[in-house]
Amino acid sequence: MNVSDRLLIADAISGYFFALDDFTDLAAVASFFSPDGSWECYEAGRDTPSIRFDSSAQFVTAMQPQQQAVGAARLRHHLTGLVFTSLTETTAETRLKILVTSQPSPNLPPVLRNTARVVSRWRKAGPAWKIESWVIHRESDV
Amino acid sequence: MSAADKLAIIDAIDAYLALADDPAVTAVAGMFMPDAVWECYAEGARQPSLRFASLAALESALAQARNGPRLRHHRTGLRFDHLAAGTARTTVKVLVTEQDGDAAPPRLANVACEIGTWRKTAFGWKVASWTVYREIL
Repeated sequence: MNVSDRLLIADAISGYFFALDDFTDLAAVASFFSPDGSWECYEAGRDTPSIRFDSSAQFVTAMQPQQQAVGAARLRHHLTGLVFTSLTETTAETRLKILVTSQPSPNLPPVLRNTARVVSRWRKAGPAWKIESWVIHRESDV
Repeated sequence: MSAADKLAIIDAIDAYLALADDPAVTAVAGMFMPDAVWECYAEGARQPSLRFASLAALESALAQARNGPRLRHHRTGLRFDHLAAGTARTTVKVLVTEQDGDAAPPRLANVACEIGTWRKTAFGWKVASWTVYREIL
């Protein structure tokens, strides 16, 4: 993998979090995944996922009812660490560190809500990199 | 745009945010185009609450910022919206902390989306405009 590929994946990760922050366009969020990409979330200390989706379409369908509540919480996902653990011409694996803030009112400053580690696998699809799996390990049950 | 150009812009963004942390007035001219515009919008506002259309005005504002709380601008997201040989546009997510003194811990102050437009010059990539959208009133 060359530097361009690393930058493309870093761009895609940031783009995914911008779309997730906005949360008004779930198709935009899902567009960062390959059609059969999986998404899992583990709560702190658990070894089975609390949520799992096996396709980007499933992600969109399941998240639609959550849109209003998540939007109101004004969650912001801050990328504070990125390590490439595997790098080839067409595949990659990254480990991310995330800090999540929420801000229910624009009159008040944001508050720290959680930190999480994310392990993601990527596959190059034409010129773009797509998420094959995205595994979130939340570090708080709150 | 080459990978080298992207890396150069990332370096310039981090240098700019370091400047915002610890304003060194002499560094402004090296980062911005002479005709650069810097604006800041509060949450939901259509008019900027701050606007500087000259380097001298921006330098003056940064000098005054030295007297406030200790701000730290943490880059927590970066997207290249536009990439060309001589121009670029970036969106940066910034988490701002503030701290009243060495004895107090920092606290979260704000999140902002900051949009930069860039021009490539013989002396490297320079900010043509910088627009801050603060997510707080």
